[in-house]
Amino acid sequence: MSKLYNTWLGYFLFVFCVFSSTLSAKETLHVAVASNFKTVLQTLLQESPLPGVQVKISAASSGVLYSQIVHGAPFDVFLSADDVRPQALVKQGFASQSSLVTYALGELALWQPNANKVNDKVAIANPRFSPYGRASQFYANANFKKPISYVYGNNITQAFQFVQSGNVSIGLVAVSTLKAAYSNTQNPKYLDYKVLEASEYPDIIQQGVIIKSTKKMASAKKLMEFLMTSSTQLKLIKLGYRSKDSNASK
Amino acid sequence: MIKLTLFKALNNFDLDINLQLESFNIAGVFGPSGSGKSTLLRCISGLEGKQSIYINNQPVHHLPSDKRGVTLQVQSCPLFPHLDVAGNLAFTQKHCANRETNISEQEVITALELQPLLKRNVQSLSGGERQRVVFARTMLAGQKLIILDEPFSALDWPLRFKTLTTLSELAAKFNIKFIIVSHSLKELLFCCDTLIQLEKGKVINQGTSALVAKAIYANNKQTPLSLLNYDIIKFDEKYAVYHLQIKQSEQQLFVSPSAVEPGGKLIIESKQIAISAIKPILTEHSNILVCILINAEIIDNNWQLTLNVDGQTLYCLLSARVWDQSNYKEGDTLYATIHNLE
Amino acid sequence: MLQSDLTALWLTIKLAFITAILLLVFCIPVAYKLAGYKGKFKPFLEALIAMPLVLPPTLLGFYLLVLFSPTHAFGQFWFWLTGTQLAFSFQGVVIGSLFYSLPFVMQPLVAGFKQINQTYNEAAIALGLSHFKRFVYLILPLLKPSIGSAFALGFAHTLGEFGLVLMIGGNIQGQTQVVSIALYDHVESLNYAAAHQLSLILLAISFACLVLLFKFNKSIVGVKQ
Repeated sequence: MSKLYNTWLGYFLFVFCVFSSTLSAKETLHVAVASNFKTVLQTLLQESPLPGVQVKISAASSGVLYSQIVHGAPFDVFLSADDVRPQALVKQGFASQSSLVTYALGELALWQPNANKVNDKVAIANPRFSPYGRASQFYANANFKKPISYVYGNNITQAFQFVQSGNVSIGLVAVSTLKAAYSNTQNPKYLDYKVLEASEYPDIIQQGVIIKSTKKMASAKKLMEFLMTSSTQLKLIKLGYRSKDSNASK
Repeated sequence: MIKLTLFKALNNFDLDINLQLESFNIAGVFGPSGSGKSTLLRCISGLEGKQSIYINNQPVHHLPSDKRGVTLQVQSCPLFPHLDVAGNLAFTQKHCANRETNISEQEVITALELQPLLKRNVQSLSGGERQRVVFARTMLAGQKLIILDEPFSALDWPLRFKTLTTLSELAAKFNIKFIIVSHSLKELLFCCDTLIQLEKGKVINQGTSALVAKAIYANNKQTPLSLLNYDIIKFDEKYAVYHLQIKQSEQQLFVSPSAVEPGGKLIIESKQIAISAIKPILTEHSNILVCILINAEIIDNNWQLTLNVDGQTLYCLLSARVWDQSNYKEGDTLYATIHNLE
Repeated sequence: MLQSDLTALWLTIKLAFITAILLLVFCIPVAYKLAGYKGKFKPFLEALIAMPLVLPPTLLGFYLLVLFSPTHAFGQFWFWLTGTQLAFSFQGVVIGSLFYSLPFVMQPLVAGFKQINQTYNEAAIALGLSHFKRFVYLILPLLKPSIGSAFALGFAHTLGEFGLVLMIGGNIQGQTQVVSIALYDHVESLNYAAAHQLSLILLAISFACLVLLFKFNKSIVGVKQ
């Protein structure tokens, strides 16, 4: 008797859940985000959540996300750490040209937390596939004494990790990473950096795009618009990025 | 020259031995399966620790097995599988330290007729071949005290006697002492001068072979084996048979080569002997010995007769029915026909 | 074929070979002791050895990065000893690989030792062979098939190492850029053609190495135990 009751209760609850999810007004938006922007996006959305939209974030390297989208991963929006991949998606027909925006510009800093240098190596992101890396290499070649002994981080965050762990004394890292580290730990060593002048290295253009196959175009547009509002762009500047329209930093 | 005080708790009983063996050349340890014989050997060798063992008045119980001057051949014949026969023989030659005899590989191969087996894979050997190879390997360890656990159980009797004779010869030549464990009294009586009887972990008899054998027969109510010493007169090429003369006697026997080993004893089982009061004539049997009836006693419905053949002893059995019919008395001269010798 | 890819291939094979050999040297005596050990710490020891099997390589790499840092004791000790740094060096990657592939070498060896019939060992003791001689001339030859397997597994496993090297390698050509990293680079930079080419070559080389290894192994395995 109780077994029958439990079975019916189960069916009822299941049906209720299915219907309730469609009854609620919130739409789930799947966003693919480059790893270094993930926490930033989370912070932004926490402070100003999108009405009626629940954002689900998948973070990975831009290259991995690009591959996944090309192979049919059901993302609605792609926020890359560079401009190459969103543009490739547009060219290949996976994304619409009209949705392409530059949501942020990366900002580089020279960081040497310890006065004593353990070695002469410089940590940068791999210039082969990271725009941060390319910019760092450009700056280093112009400003450091040759020959430069590089240590390549897989991404800009790993370059930061190499310096942070003490294995490399000096590195070219993202300002956003340093700011995030400081806000987590309040350790003053994360403040001891020199922001590089924007003119000294090529722009690190971070672009985003809406995937054509999305079924939630309205919500996707809402997200993109949100990112481009001036209040969001100001917040980005505070978090260590530059805005496309202004050259202000800090 | 061997003094043992052993105690080890085993499954059904305790091994409790207090044994002293003075002079011996080849000693036998006799007992039924599970009486503790293997454990005894393992203690001497050092595979079971914490016992009290003196060899030639030197304590060896604190020494590891490779420093005791003893080689043990275990019952299971484990030839090393990654080497062929020649490799196994060379193994002990090469790696055993503290060799005390200079017995050579070639000598052992020749003595045990292992030449045709040398290149063989150890897995392909028959049981008997394995035992001969294992024995050769044991000899090549070069020690002066060698203890063997059922070393020739897979050999048929002719080959067994032959190998035991080889063992005796090597013992004499290189001054090696052997202790052999077996549950076959026949085997031990053939080559041992000293016997130890083990039962349920305790030594119940110890002494010269003849004495202990007698005690064993008495205890177990078995008919004893008869051992005859002999000299070889000649080997008849035409009929492939040996002429033997009983020692201290004029009487002769014709025996097939398989039972004859120079320096050995002729072992006759009681069932091979038939008795008559009159000398058998016109018979095919030629192995007839004249003897005198010394003793007759009844054991389990059979009469066990002890016969004297010019100073040596023969034992045979008669059923109660035949005895009652026959009227033999102690002191009678009887004729013993020995079957299955030729 | 890019020069950098050839360098990466050679580096990877060198790394796999050196790691497998070093692990054999370390693991054979340890596996011997472990196989015979019957004490109460046995499950803990076995679990410890098996840890690299279950931990993500990136976790291993992360902790090694911390360990190697010149700001910590071990990194300083290494610097004092050799004057060099462990992170971003071939030596550092070798050390990481030793941890990474340890269970793949240790476990077949332990199994192999356990499998050796004790009767042979006893017979050798009874024949009067010293411990050392028994180990070298009896036990090691009987262990040959397991040694072959352990080497093959350690080698093959290290060939495929990625996460750990990613964390501590620093992607330096000729030092730490192994094939898996080079492949990742090609994919990340959308250079799929090069990625395909390198993958196929690595597959072919790995397969050939393993075939050779198992052929060699088989010729010693004829030894029924």
